[in-house]
Amino acid sequence: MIKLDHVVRTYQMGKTTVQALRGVDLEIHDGELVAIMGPSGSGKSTLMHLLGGLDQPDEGSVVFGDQDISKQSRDFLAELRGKRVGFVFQTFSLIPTLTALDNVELPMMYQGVERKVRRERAQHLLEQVGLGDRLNHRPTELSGGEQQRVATARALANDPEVLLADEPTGNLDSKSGKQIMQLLTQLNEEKGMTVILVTHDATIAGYAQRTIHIFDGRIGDAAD
Amino acid sequence: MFRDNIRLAFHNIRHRQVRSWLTILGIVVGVAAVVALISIGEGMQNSIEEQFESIGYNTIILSPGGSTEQASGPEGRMGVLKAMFGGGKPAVVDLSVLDRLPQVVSFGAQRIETGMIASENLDGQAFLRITGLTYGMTDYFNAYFNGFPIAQGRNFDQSDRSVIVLGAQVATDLGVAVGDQVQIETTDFEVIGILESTATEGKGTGGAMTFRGMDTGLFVPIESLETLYGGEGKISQALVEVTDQTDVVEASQAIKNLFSQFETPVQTITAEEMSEQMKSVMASIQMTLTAIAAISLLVGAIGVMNTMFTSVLERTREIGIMKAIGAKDRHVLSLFMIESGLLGIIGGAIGVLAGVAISSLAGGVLSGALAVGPGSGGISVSFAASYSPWLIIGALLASFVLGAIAGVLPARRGAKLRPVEALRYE
Repeated sequence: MIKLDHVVRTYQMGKTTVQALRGVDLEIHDGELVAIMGPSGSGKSTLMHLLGGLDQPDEGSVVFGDQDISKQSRDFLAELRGKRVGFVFQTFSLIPTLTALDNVELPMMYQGVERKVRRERAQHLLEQVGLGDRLNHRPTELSGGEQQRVATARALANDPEVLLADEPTGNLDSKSGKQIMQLLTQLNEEKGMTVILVTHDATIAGYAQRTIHIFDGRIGDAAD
Repeated sequence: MFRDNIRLAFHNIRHRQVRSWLTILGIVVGVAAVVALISIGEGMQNSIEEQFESIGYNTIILSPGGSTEQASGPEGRMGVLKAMFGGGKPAVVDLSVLDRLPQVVSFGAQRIETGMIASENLDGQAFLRITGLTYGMTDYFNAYFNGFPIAQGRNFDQSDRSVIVLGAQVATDLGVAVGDQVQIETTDFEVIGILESTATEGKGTGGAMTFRGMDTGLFVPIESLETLYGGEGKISQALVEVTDQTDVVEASQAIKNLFSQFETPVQTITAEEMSEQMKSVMASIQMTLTAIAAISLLVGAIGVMNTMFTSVLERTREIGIMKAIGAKDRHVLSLFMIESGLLGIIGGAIGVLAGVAISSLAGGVLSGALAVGPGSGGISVSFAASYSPWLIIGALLASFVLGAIAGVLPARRGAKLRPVEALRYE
């Protein structure tokens, strides 16, 4: 379970102060497939960063599992991200110089998994996402859909509790997008993984069991 | 984790080949210069030591003139150089008084003049330095003359006057063989001996300083120079051997005192003093040059720092990704520091090889350039550069540490990046 209690987050963009989140209360239960929807600039990416321990709130608390992570150290958050959260980004965010296999191995490397073990697991994960024949390709040698599948395999590397996907289909054609969404729903259904989708696309949000709308840094009821 | 980071670091360096090699080149130049200069310096020091050991530490070198001051400080060093190069103008010194000192075993003198040389096979004339030797000198001070090995003909007899022994090189240059005539000024001298070439021998013995000048030497009995140029009893330099039991420094002073009693003051210097002072002159030259080389190494390190800052900036997004998937600050820090350390040590390794190559080449060139043997009134230095394992290990270690240190600031900048900001960076 992830619970946000009156979370406020402001940041500086040059000289202007942006109030990204203006007091957000939110609960996401284990095993849920949730979509967070909102137009660009609504604060949905900031919300995702807070949910996954990439960022910390200025006010309020973020409870991950049974721990308040809003005041924890950088190392604590790094470990949380590494072990318990998997991120899938809109821009794939693979390390361009590394092969698919190396990219999937990387999160396990940071957790000190032995080389041989992680290599096998990375290979297994890539086979699961249908890229068993692309193990030694670099990101530039892969299509967008394939890259996003590598990124998903990477997100699963340390068997996280929560998968956070920020516009996972934003840079994909509809067919590849559909494949990714099927993969994510499958993970939720078969493994009971909590999946949080951040999107502005109603079609994508349609896959979710619950949709949370966000406007101007506040959770809205517009769609209810 | 550390090994994984080394692998990743290698990967990253390979991926940016041009920039990596240019950065490495900066380190290579610095390390090569330092290694070359230190090993050349060590080689020179060693060869000086070996040479003076072979001459024997119970040899005192005496040259006419000068004060009664001890040979130390800048004045002393000039004295050393004077003594080495056969002093200034030849002056009259009556060496026979040395017989009054019980500790003296043997002595001999050289007189160095520059004269017009002609031979049948030589077009025109040559202006060369001629060394006059007292009889038996090359036997008493054999090591000083590098054994004075006669290749053809014979050594001097006591009664010889207008005869000449030539170094191998000069014999070839003048186009003469044993039995031919060489004209000095207006007098004919018969070639009675030609020395073995020392050039090849010097290479073979490695570290030893050899009298390469022997090859270009023209040796005549000292008396014949008196006939040619006048000035009976004039010498440029004398060598004095004292008994093994003698305190050489005391003997040196005694000799000096003796000659000042006869109002023909001389400078004396023991082989050891000469060795020490030559070494100290060499050491200070070497230190200055090494310091300059070290500056270029520092510039190389700044190059590494520059490259690493660029790299961190360029890979900001990558750092964000690494952090998003669980990398801690220290993982990022060590990755970048290992990268810069690797740049350093690769540069160091190539630099050591280049330095060794440069110094062994320079060994030959420099010893040629310094060739001033007894034939021309001094000592020539031919040597092999010396590479101590500590120099090599030290250079590698220093270049790794320097590289890593140069990487500290850039790596810290990378490590401290906030993941969200790094991810947002385009």
